[in-house]
Amino acid sequence: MRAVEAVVAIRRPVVCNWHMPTVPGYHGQYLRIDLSERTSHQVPWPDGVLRNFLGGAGLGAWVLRCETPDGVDPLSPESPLVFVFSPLVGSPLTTSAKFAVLAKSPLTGRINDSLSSSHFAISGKRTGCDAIVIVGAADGPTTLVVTPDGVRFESAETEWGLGSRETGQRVRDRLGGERAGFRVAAIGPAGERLVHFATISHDARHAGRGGLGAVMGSKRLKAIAVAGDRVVSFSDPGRLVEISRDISKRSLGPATAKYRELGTVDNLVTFNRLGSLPTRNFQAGVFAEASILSPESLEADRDRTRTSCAACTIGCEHIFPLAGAGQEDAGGVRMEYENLFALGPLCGVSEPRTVLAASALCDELGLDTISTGASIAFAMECAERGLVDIPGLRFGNGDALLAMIDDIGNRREWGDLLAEGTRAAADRIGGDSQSFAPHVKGLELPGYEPRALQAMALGFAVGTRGADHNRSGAYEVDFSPEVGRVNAGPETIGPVVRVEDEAVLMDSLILCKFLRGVFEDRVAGMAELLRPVTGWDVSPEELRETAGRIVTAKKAYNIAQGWTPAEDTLPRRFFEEPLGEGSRQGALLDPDQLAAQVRAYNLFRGWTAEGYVPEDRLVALGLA
Amino acid sequence: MDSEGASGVTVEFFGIARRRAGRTRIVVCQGLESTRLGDVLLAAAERLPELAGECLDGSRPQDGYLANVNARRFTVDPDTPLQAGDHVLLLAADAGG
Ligand code: SF4
Repeated sequence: MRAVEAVVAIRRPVVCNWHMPTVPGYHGQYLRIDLSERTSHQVPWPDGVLRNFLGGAGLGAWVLRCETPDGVDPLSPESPLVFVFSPLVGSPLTTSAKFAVLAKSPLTGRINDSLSSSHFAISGKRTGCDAIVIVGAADGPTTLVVTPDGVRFESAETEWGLGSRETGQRVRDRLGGERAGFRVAAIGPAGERLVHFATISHDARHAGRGGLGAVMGSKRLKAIAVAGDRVVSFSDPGRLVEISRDISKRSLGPATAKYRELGTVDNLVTFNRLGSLPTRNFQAGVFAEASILSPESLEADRDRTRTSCAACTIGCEHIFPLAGAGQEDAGGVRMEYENLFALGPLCGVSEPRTVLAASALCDELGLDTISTGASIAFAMECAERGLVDIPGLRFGNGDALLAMIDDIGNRREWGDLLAEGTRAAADRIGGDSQSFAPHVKGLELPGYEPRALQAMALGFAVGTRGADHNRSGAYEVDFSPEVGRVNAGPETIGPVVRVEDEAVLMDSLILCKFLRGVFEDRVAGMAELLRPVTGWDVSPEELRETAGRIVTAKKAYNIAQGWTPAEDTLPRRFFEEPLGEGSRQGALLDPDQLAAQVRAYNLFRGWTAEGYVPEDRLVALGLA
Repeated sequence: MDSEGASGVTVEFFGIARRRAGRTRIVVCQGLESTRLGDVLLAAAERLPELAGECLDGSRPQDGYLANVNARRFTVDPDTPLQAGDHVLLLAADAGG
């Protein structure tokens, strides 16, 4: 039981009952693989952990905290990489075929959890475990093949250098093709070259943020293939089917019409009208050419198709062909608001063909589109200010954008510096560049202008993985009558915590966020569907406490890895440069007000005003 | 206030509301100096029945939709006071991306 000893030795005394009976919805164990030793073991979950952390991002935070040595280099063999499924995977619940990937981020040095979708989740859980923890590093390029019979370590020499899509196809073919049923998650060239915002990809979907692909690349792990036949039981299958049918029906109603008919690309024109569309490296909140990138304009010369993740009734994925009308088919690319904003307005680029090509190139190389766009936009501003000399790299130059994406993915010339992210690049470039490097804790901001969306600004500041809209969700507070989105006071704190709690539960169970509109009361809805899966008599109050526990566990992880209160803020630009045009003209963040909100948020969470977690809070939540 | 909407309230449509309305905007309540959100939405519904069916619930936005006044204040309150020249944005409440 070397793995168990390792868990206990590295961290936290936990009360363990290694012979607990399996809870419905779970296998009751995780698979721990050591690439250096080429060994693997199943490790039972300690008593209470499953109910306290649920699955996905929550259970991943628990196991990552157990397995990560304090201060570890994220790209060293000792740094664990964790794939986690959830109790809902394999159930008939719509949008539940998802998995979480966690590691210490090379971009931020803090906890990072990214979610992805589809058949890898279903097949991975069918291998007979609830999570796969990978430590160590292989001698050479390796593919892990995981089945209920065990783990094989196969050479990936012939796939090294290929894109993730081709890698996945080759590995599947080698393992017996469609009939063998293997599903593959893989990295592209950017992950191999340790680009700090490289992705892990499966079936054209990506665990995108925070550089988990680099962690995988540092282990010389090109791909993981999973297949199996181990299914879990559910506590009340009849009730589960009933609830699933009802949610599926509601998922086809008005709450998700936007996602089905238009996709999230539609946000671009809305955000522009609201003065909230980050433009030219956050120098403005409106983009004059936004309408050229509207769904209607994109559709005008290309036939969009729609697809979905496995086990999803919504189908929000809108695929746009890369070739123009009459041209030879060049494949398609999935467009969402985030890749559209980051590779379009943020870089001042409005030519649809260029933005689609840029997004496809990021997918091929295995790059997070948000951090890629933000890093290039930052470099464009540095070039325009004369801080760097990069020929042609200016806002609006689509050819320079495409060339720089390729340079980042291959770590060539200036691309090698930008591959470390904007925080590290600004440290090297110097001058006042750190004041407009668009990151929090090293993670580049997504497409929400914080001067115009000030609840979101708070969410960015306190986010455990950095500037992030998926873990915080505070933009929901801004886009509501609840509080004013500019100059909001203490009334913002409760709603910001509430939506963060809801998000952490959805990320732990793992359900698609686009389903949230179908629940009248999201937490009560999640409690209702967890009962027939696990048999736990779980109440909404218990789930709210669970959410607080998971957020606090992530915070405790960060503190152990060196977090300081000074990190919980935004770049100076947002305090010093008012928005210049649009409906939020003149909007600015007040540093004192944001600092006061951060303190109030910390106290609301039961932490000290500075953001440290008191020992009695850790004890109360079972985290000591 | 702008010249187009000076003699009424301009309702701008986003997302599904734009699809159902089949247009990007409409001017209603012309000739009134002041009005309220509920009356503006009722007037828009009368002229655009397909929009009304899915995005409006009488004088309020349907569940899942929001109104925004002049790209600043979000509201669903039909009693929200409006002036001639104001712009009402009708959009999905779920802004996630
Ligand atoms: S709504 Fe979209 S992202 Fe969510 S599960 Fe369905 S297809 Fe995937």
